[in-house]
Amino acid sequence: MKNKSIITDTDFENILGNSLRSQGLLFPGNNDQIEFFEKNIELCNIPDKLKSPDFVFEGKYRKFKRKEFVPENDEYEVNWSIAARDGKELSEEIKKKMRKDREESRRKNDKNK
Amino acid sequence: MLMNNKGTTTDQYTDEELLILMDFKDEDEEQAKEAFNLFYKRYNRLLLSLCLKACSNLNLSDSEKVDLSEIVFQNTMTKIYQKSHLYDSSKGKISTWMSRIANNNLISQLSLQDENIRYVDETALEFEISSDNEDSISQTQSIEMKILEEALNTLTDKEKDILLTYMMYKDGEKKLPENVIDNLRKRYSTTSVNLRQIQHRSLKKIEEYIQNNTNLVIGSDIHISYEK
Repeated sequence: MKNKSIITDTDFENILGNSLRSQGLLFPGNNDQIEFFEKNIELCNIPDKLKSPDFVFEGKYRKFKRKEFVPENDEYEVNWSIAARDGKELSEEIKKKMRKDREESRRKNDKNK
Repeated sequence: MLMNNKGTTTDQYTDEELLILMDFKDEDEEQAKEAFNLFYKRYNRLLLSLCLKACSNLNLSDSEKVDLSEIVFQNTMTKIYQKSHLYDSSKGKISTWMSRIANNNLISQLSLQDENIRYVDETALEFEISSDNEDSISQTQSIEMKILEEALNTLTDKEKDILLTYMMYKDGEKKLPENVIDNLRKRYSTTSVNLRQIQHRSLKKIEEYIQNNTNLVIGSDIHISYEK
């Protein structure tokens, strides 16, 4: 029989955070995490435009400009809110509609990008 | 050409020595730049890989993810060159320090409001370098990468974005700043309360996936007990 490790929700969050950071899905924050990343993750190559470090000597900092974000389909969000407020289990029909709304919203988002 | 104290040219300076040389940029700019060149060659791939990976799950288009990664990369390198004297070896490796700088820059980038500024003064970007290891529990346990990525893929892009934003700030028990909450609220046309619900729901989804695919059992009223 497989041995189980029993942990609390709080510990799970810490373990999740540690895993995310060790694997680089969040920036590593301590030596153990960075060492795990260095050992296990394949490093990318540097693109030509970043091969020279001369940009550093200009002393400028760049700001990221996010493109206009198109929120997901409101109907999808409303359905979730209603379901959440009622505290009821969602029927298959509603789930199907929500999946459809979500896909439609994603298609719209992709078109706008 | 950089010379060590034995009078021979070398690229075998330690990383700490390179940082010291950078710190003397006012006295000898050429040497400082040369030192940075070496440092850059040693760390550019690691830092860019970190940036690309950290941005990979954000709710952005592919081109935006790359753009943001490169911006964080460049800003971090610039900061290292300008503030090399801030590194304290007693508090962690250089790569850890670098990662923390990048993390802070990413957080700043995601929370900056003004769309019209292309270049910002460094004081507008938070580069607080928190040097203590703030993990309160010894993290010997972690989740296998494949399982973790599969678990994240059970979330919608929105859920992932919200959860990871909360987790980004969780290091050191930081609370989500008001402007970040506002950003998320506007982005997803929702309320702060609903954001918390989404975060909670997303965490539960991941918990469920992890429980079904690993030997972890997660519960709120179960005390820590590791069975060996």
